Amino acid sequence: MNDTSGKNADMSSHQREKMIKGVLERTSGSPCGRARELICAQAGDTLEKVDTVLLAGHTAHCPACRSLATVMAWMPKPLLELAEIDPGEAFTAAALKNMLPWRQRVARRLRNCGEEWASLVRRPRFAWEAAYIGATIIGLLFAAPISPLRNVPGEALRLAQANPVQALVEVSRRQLPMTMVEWSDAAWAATGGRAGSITRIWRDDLWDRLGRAWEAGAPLGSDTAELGSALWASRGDRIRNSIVRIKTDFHDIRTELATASPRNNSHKQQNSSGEPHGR
Amino acid sequence: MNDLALILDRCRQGDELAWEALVRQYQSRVYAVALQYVRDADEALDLAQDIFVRVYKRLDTFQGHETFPPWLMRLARNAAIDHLRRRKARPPRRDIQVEDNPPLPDTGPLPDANWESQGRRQLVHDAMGQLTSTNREMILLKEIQGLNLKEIAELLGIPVGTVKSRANRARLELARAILALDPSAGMTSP
Repeated sequence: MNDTSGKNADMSSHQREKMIKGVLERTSGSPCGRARELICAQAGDTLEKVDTVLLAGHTAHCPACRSLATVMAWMPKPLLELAEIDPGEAFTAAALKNMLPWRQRVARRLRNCGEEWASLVRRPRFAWEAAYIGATIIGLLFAAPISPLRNVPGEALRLAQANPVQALVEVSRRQLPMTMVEWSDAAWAATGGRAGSITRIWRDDLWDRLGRAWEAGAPLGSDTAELGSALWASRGDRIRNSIVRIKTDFHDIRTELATASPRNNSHKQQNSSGEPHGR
Repeated sequence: MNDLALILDRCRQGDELAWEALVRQYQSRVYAVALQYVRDADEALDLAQDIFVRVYKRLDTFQGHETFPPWLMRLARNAAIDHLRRRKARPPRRDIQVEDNPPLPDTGPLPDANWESQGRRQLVHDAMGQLTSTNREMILLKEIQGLNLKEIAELLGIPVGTVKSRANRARLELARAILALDPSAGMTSP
């Protein structure tokens, strides 16, 4: 009999909660949102007395809000305990070390670098390590696919295998004397081949001397200006004589042309003026 | 003039002992702040040192009428933001998982320390890792470091009312996060 009445009482409690929930859903909505506001205010000790009673009434029947209120109630203590956490013994020393004026820090670091370098060099393996690092650097410089110096070893080998004098002369013939050739052709065209042939002779002579100077060990530089200076210094008299000769030839040609022109002109004038006379 | 003001005055004059005293006095607090921002013990050590370097360099800018903790919090916050920005630009070698929160370092001698309070502290610390950065910062400043609403408003550059509502929301979110991590936490009496 008692069991039956207890079961009835439980069922009525369950039904009562269900009924309250149904009424709230159809009227004001769930009170949990408002209850959570009050839970926050309660944690901040800003809750009015009536609200305290209302909140207690709600949490008594709402497990979710009750759990939240419980957590909110014990939360401040562990939060306050998180305000200070010991970073350990070494922290103070490390922090103070960082506060040294920068001059002292730089001086200390330099001093340490010197000591570290000295101890590094004294190690028996240093030579092996240095060789390894050097080989790695050279390998990266000359063998890496993206390195701009990648073709240098091949070129150097090719040059070393070829006749260096011949190679230099070939390169020079290809690259340097374009203006000289043009100038020679122009002189050829202007002077009817006389001065042009002289400059061609001089040009060929210059290349021969260049080869001989190279074989004689003259200090030839890679730059055109250096090359010219070196040649001038080593075989200056002969080159100078060649240029003087060319200059003299040009002067003679110009004189001949100048003297030939008035003669031709006067001859033409004589012809043109003589005819009427003859007539 | 209180002790802190005297120490600060000596620090400005370049007294190394005063500086050491200041570091010792605030290192736990600064480390705790750094830990909440970066959530990694080693990174927090670096950040805490960085914060002290900033304090050292900018001690002259500290005005006497300001209270020191909010000023320190401002420097710590700026340093933490810079640190996080750098970390974002150059991520660490290993990922720091939120679920993989390291055990909380020892918080120093606590007379009433027992396993329950340590467990709760760890639980709260883990739950802090679940919060958004805004909510975590609000909990850090308001609940952990105990700054008042006005100081937080000045620090964050937002109105006091906004601070209040954000603080309430953050507290609620933290409680929810705690319950999500450990549902039995809501059954324990305070």
